[in-house]
Amino acid sequence: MTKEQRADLPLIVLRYGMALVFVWFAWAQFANPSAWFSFLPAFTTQLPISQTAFVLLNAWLEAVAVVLLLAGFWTRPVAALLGLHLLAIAATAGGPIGVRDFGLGVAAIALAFGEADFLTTDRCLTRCEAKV
Amino acid sequence: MKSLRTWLTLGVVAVIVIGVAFILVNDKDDAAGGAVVTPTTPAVIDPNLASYTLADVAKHAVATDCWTTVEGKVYNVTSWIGNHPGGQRAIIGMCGIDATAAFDGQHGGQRRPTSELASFVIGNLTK
Repeated sequence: MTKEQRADLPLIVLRYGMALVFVWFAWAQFANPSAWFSFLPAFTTQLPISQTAFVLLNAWLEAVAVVLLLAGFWTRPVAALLGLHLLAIAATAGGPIGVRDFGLGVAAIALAFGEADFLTTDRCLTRCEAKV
Repeated sequence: MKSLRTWLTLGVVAVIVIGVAFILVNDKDDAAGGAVVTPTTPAVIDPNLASYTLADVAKHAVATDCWTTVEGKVYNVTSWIGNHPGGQRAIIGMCGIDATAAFDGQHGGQRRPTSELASFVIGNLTK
C-alpha cells in the first residue's frame, strides 16, 4: 500500500461504515414499514400517498444511496444528501437518538468534504477519462 | 458519445425511477395515512390488573395522558414520553392506539425495552 493509499484509509472506513448504517436503516424500513410511522413528520399524513409508501420510498432511496456509497460513485453528493437527511432527522427527533443521528450526520458530511478515495468508482472514472 | 460516467448516472436514475414507480403503483393503503390496523395479540390475562377496552385506551391519546396497548396489555406511558431514547414523537404517535406492530418492529426480542414497557402496565386489554 502506498503512502497516498494509506492516507485514504480514514475515508474508506468512513464510507463503508456509513453504508452499513444505511443498510440497516433501509432493511428495517422495508421489513416493517409500520414500525416507522411514529417517526414520520406530521405533514406526511397530508400527502396523497400512504405512510407505508412514504417509508418504503425513503427506504428505497437509502438503499440506492448504500449501493452508490459502496461503489464509490457520486460519493460526495450522496454523502452530503445522507448527512443532511440525518441532520434533519436529528433536529426533529431530539433525545439520545437525536444526538446519535447528529453524530452520524456530521460523519456523513465529513465524508462529503473528503476527496474520492482510491477504491471508489469516482477515482477510477476520473483516471479512465483522463487517459481517453 | 456519452462518457461512462454519464451512462452510469443514467442507470442510477433509471433504477431510482423504477423503484419509486413500483412503490407508488403498489400503494394500496387508504388515503387516511395508511395506518395499519393490527389485530391485538391474545395475551395472558393477569387477574390482578384492571380490564380496559381499546375504546378506553383511545380516550388517553395525548402526550399529557398517554395510554397504549401492546400484545394484550394496557400501559400508561405518559411519564416515559420525555425519557424515550428514540425521541418523544415515537411514543406520542402510539398514544391511544394498539402499538403492538410498532413496538415489535422497533424492539421485538430486545430485553431492555420489554422490561421498561412492563413497568408501565396498568391493565389487560379486553374486547
